[in-house]
Amino acid sequence: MDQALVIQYLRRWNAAEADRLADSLEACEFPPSQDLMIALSKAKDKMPISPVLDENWAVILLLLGNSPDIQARRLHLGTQRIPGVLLFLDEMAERTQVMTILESLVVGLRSEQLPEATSSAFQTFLEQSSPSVVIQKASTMADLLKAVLAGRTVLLVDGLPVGLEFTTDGPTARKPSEPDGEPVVRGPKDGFTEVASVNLSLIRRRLRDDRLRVEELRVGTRSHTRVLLVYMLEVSLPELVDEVRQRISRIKIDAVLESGYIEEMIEDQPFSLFPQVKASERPDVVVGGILEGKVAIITDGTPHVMLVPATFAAEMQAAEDYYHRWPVSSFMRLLRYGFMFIAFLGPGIYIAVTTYHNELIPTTLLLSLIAAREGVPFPSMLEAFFMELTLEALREAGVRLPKTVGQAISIVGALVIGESAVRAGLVSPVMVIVVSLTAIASFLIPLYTMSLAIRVLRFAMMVLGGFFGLFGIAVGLMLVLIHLISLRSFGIPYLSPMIPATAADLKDVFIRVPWWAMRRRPLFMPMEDHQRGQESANRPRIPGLRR
Amino acid sequence: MQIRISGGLLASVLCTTGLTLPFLILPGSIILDAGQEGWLSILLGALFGLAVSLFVVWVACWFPDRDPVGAITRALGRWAAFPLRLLYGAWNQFIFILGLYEIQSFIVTVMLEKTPEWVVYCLIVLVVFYAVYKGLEPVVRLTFATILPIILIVLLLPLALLREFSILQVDPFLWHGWDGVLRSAVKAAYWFGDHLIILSLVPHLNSKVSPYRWTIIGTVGAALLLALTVLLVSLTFGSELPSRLLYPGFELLAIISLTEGIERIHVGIIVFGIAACIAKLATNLYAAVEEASALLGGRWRTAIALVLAALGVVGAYYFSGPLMMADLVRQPGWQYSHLGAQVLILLLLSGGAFAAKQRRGRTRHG
Repeated sequence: MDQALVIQYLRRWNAAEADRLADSLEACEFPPSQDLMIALSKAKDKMPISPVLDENWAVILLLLGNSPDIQARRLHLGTQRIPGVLLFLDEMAERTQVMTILESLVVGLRSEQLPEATSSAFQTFLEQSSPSVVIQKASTMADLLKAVLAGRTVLLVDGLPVGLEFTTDGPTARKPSEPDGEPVVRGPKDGFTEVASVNLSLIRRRLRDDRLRVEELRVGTRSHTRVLLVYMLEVSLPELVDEVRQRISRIKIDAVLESGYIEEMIEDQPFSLFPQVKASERPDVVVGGILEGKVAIITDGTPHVMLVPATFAAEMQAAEDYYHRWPVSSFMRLLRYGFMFIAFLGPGIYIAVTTYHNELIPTTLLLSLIAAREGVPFPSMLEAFFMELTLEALREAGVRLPKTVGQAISIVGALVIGESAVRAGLVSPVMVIVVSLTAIASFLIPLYTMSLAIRVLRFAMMVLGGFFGLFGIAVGLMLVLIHLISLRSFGIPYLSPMIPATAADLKDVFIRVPWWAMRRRPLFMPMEDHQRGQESANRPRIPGLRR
Repeated sequence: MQIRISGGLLASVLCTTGLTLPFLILPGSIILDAGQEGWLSILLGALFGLAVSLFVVWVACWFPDRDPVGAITRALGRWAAFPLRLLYGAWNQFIFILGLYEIQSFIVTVMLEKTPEWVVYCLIVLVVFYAVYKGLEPVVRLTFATILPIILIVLLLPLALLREFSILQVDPFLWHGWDGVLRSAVKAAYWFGDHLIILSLVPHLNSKVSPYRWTIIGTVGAALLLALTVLLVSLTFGSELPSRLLYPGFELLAIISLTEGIERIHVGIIVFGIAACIAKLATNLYAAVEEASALLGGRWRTAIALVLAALGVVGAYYFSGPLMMADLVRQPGWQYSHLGAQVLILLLLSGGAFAAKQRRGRTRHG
């Protein structure tokens, strides 16, 4: 890196700020101090591209701290052999694409007479001779660096005061595979990946409609994370889209590494345990949401795409509900809601009933319970806490440990610890059954974040049940209910369409009616076009039966 | 943003008001005087509640926004509505304290004998305060969510108790005479007078909804369900035993035996009743807070809610003796003063609203 070239560049820039920086650079030794580097970095938004190629190259190297992954391929263009340099980041830009561009520039233009580098015809000539799909111009150092850091390849040519960006950002991405968190027996097996553009293509493949709108935002002052808003014109309310856009634009953070960062900064009620955004790894789920007027938020770097607004009912729906026969799906839905209550209240009610309300237990069962609890030194509440905390620890360990070991630990831990605890007289066998049932019940909740909320609240219900019996449980339930009633997700009541009740929408809450009967999109979602289909057209006709 | 409530929510609040606390307290006292015709007393008493609520709705409908108190304030000045707001707010606060005491004593008597009273008070008030803090919508939706199971339970009660009815316990019609029936009807009337709470709700009612229809549905629904409960109590226990039971409605649930394994489930059922009672208290505290806040210029709503909720605990805890004496069922003096307060509120409301209407008319024509 030639510091003299950088100083020469700054002097050529001919601005007071540039002169100050140049003076500072001249005064200091190489490498420049951290403060000076920060000052240079802050000035990059205004730094123009110099017509002198070597100056640009020196400045770029300085600004990137002479990073080892920056690659530069010097080349000579046309019969005039105009010097140029092709810049890209190793492994960020796809090498085959860079090679193709390089080939077209070096080999393709070898025998071409190029226009003057300062003329606009020169840029046009280069653009037309390049095989890149998209070509943009960078007119400042900041634009140029942004392009290189995003994985694009930049061509700088001696005498040209702009850089030409070629799209080569095709980083290595895993293939869309079935998401581990949302597996299905029947249904598509592809899932989102960590690359936003790939995720967008998975949505596009399912929605070949020109009214699908995609907006790009950048979040994170350092990460410049690509965030895509995807919605359907006519279906999504413009005010909702505006609100989502505004909330994301308001985010001021250095880096966004996962969609969870954005989720916490755009939700209506930041202190709630309940997820106010539905995150999914499944394109079919997201497309279903978009068709119901929701806005999808794709964040680069994570396979979790968010859907807003979210409702409690939507978070209790699984993708598979819509692929199986509707009576079966309805049964599964009812089962899910029933077991959600067990996951939430099971241990709490057990504690309350065994501690305060023994009369509720049938006599024979009560005798068995007393016999089973004989020798257990702790009250039910402590017993339940011990078991539940152990189970949560095992579950957490199962997630953190490597897959093969994790499964073994979970199963062995649950079996061995449960059996040993019963034999040692620490817990009763009934408590093991209650806790196991609760654990199974919590797995029935399709959305993991919802399951987490219910698992945490379960402990509160256990405390209330342990201290105040069923009255305590009622108090806890009412507090949760009040909270849920007042909760909003982007202005939509969280308990819609149950509270406030929209009768027509209840056909896809506790049960799911056949597709041909779901003529309209959810009415609680404000949108311009609620019509989904026509029942008369979609209802199957039984051969030979006159209607 | 002005919250709009549906007709169903209005009816659910009225049904909660007329059914929940009276279900716990009234049946024994009613049957004591009216005998097996206690159900008739309930229906007669409910007529007063219906008259009160329909009168308020009628007055409210004089104004386009159905807000008579607001109209009085706008037309005659803040101080013109002061006595009405003060009396109505204080009356609601009193009902809140009384209800708090009644629910607490029920819980401590039948469920949590060893739990200190103040702990139970605090838990109830925690729920009530949280609902009021969140605003009108959670309050009314909470009543809706908690009254539905109660309605279902009361409607299924005859089936569950079918085996317990005995023809031998049926007295001749009007065995205690009209006198007893009317005396009990007066007792029921005070409780149904609580439907005055509609004054706080009707301004928020969806403008497309008929307030008369839903008021009638709510009041008549509550009356019919309560009358059914009283009838079941008298058919099951006769006309003598209920008056000696502390909570005959609860005892009725205690004898339900569906099969060999499913019996003695009264505590499990009554928890829904307690939840509905707490929701009813939330409506009273909400009204008291709104009026107090309006008196202070619409400010410090949260602080007022906190203060009034705390006052409720303190009042119910330290004045539990006087409150028991003031129990509207037991003391005629209190009964008539309660009725007097209700009538006074109605008079202040109608007088103020009439003057406001006149002033509005004069301004329009002038």
